[in-house]
Amino acid sequence: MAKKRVLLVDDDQWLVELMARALQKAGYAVDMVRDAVAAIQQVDTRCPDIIVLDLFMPGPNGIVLLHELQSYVDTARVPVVLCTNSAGDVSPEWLAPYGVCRVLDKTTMEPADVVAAIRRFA
Amino acid sequence: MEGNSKQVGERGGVLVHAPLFVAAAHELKSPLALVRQLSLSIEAGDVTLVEAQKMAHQITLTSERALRLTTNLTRTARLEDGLFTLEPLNPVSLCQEIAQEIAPLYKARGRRITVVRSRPLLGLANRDLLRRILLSFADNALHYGGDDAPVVITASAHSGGSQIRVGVRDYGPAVPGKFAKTAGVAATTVHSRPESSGLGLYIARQFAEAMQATIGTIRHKDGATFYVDFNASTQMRLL
Repeated sequence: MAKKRVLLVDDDQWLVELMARALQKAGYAVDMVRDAVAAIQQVDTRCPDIIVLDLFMPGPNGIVLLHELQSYVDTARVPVVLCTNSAGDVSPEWLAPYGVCRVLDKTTMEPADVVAAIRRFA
Repeated sequence: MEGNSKQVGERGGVLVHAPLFVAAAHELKSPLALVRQLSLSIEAGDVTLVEAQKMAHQITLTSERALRLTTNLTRTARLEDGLFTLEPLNPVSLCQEIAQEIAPLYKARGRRITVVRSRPLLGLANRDLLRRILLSFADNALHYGGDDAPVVITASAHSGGSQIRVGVRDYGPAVPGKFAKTAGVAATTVHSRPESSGLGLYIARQFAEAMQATIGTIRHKDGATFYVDFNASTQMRLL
């Protein structure tokens, strides 16, 4: 059985490496990109089963990517876990229509929380 | 620091007003969150010795970057306290020192920073403040630049040789047009990039003003140059 594929979209290279390491250990295949433009290219190349997305990145931000993903039938169904330092500033209810199934706060989460969130939704 | 509030960002066309300390908190959240995650991963104990050493090194470099920001912030609050002596200095030599100082951080992130050699130059500036400005630009360029392209520091004379410009060029996302005014014109409202709080640019402007220099931004199709202009030394004609 093919591994579930996770796309990590975050400009914090070292944090992404940490998350990727934990996800790979948990049996997931992981792709990593550092901005929304690269994420769209990656989604076009190989659509992931779930996306872990940061909010503020160089270039278009995470909200722009969410809008783009919702514009197409195939990508609109991909669940998104928002992982941000600004979790207190966003409303999960407001983000739900954009495919965001969970918001993780980078400032309080545990390393295992990403894996737990992915397991639940992918 | 001037005033209780400044414009720190513009998202979706709506200006966001926030106190300066909110911008500082925003800037510090990211490195602190990273340090915490790295530390938790080491504590969990499921890493090899090599991985643990790498993470410890990342904690050191991330902490140093955050400390540079906090040190600069406290420095801006004390700018009125003292006169900042201007001294003749070789900007290229200073650029090389800065590239050397920040190289470990760049290397750890798989990036490079280079200095373009120019003809001999002699500027008139405060060494400490100029160093802080350029380190801030270099920190910024590391974050916003693309994965593969090096960050390039250049020093050159302009305005008929009366001014020296030192610029830090990155090859990342362009500065949007609406932000492409020079930072000196409206530094409290113009930011390097819309997702940035603009705090680094604010600090750099404070330091520049304290030594009669100016800062600015040049937008490129494939990135940006952040520069500082200061007077050339009259001794330069002897070079």
